[in-house]
Amino acid sequence: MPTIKMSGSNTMAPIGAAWAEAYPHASIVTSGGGSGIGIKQLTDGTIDICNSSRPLKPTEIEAIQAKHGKEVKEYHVGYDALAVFVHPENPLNEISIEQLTQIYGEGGGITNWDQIAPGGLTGRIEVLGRESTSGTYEYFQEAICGKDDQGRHKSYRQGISAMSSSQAIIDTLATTKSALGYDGMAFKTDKVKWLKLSTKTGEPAVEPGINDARSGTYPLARKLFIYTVGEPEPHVRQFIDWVLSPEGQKGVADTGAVTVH
Amino acid sequence: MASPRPSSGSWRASLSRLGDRAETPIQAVIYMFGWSSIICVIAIFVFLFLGAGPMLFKLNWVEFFTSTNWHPKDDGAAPASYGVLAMVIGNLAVASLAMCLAIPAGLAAAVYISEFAGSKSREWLKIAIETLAAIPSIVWGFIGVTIISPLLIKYAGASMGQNLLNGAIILGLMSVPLVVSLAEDALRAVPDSYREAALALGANRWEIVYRVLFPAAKNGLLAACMLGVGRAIGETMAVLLATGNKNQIPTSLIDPISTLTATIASEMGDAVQGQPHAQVLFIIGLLLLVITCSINIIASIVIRGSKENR
Repeated sequence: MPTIKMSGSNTMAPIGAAWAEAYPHASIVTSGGGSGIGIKQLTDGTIDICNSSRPLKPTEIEAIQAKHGKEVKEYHVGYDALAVFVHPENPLNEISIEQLTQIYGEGGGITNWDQIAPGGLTGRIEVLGRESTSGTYEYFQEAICGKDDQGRHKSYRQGISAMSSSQAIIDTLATTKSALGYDGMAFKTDKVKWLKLSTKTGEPAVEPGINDARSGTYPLARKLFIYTVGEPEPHVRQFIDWVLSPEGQKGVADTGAVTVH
Repeated sequence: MASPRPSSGSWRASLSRLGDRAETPIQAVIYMFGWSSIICVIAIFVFLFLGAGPMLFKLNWVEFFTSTNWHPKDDGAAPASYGVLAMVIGNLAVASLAMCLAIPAGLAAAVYISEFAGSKSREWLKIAIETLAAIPSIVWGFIGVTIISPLLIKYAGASMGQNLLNGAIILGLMSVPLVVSLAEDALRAVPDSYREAALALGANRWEIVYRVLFPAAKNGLLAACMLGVGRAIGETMAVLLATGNKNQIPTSLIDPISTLTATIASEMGDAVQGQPHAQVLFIIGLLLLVITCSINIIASIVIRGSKENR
């Protein structure tokens, strides 16, 4: 049986594992580490397929082109809604992107819970994030931190705790009352609570959900991708076709992410 | 000096002559292995220097050592800035706090094992210490996250369980076996005649320990502490999981911190070879190596100094 080496996104790690178990025609070796690590491995040529929870940057596409002489092929395999999570005993129910920019972005003004919603928790917000190798980290930064006057993306502020995986954020949130973190909606468990999200404070907030993610009503929905260098080999191509078929998409849906259709 | 020869002509004689002739090449091989450790250290320094490359000259060293702004990716609005002050303080803080826990506990345990324990309990204690030393660091990190973290939230009022104190407790526990075994060796090496002389002068057992044994075993005890510090500063996996990775100078014991070692571990995978980010990570590696080597050199000087004073 041929082997397919797959690596990359932490967010897609449960999906990759579900695919590896269900796919009958090849043996799939998965590893994680973050979309950034997967992209680097794809550039180095050590893997066949890269899972990524963010699109490739132009510099990365050029690097692969320069190294291998082939175009990168992109396959859109699902959606993920990025949810904002808090501890279950936190009375807060919704938050807006405006407030998130003030919490996570450089030069932001919100550091305490009473600045978000008076009457709820008090004290400092323990802000959780992913480490810089994560596609989720990059996507959230683009979506939340905003742009400066010249249209360039601003960075996160200092002092955000860098957690090493999507699971680590959930585990920390489950035990830390004053924590706030972002994670893929597929990682929700009973031990944490997610917040409804609105674009501006005061506007109606949308709960993370499958249809709202696909249609774009939920503001933080992003595409999940598989990348290969050039046209994939026949056995890899067969796997990608399977991923896009109802069986492969079932693996996506079972782990809590959103299917393409 | 040649070994005594049996009568020539027998096979034992030939073997003996072979042994004499082989002495020089064997000596050469042993010399080579001895020098190889020095060569290894030099090679590691060279490797780090090469990896750091042009960033050694392009880096803003003032910003590197005095700024807490660690922003390695050049992504649009802000140019990359590499300030490691918060991480250096984090590393030193967690190592010193860990030593405040490990050194008293380790020395006390060493004194007990060496001077007061019966031979049966000594055996069991030594086995327990060696088992503690064999626990992998990632398991310690796990213990920090799953066991120590909720305890700190409940009893120490920490808002986040992964913090400086958590890292210090875990590092302390990791360093105790090292301190205990080295300190115990140092105490055992003190000749019994010292103890007997003190007994003859009427000292009780505790007085023997702190008036005779500690001063006599000073060098070894100091070496034990220094090696413990070196271990604590260089530890990566346990602090990656247990300290919270928050890039800010801590203001209290229960504040999350970030360390040089955890930063290299979490960012190396994504930093492309030859890019400034990767090169700065090599420079951080150099910084760590310089810190641990300095500690070892200072320890050697102190130990040698007190040897000469005797």
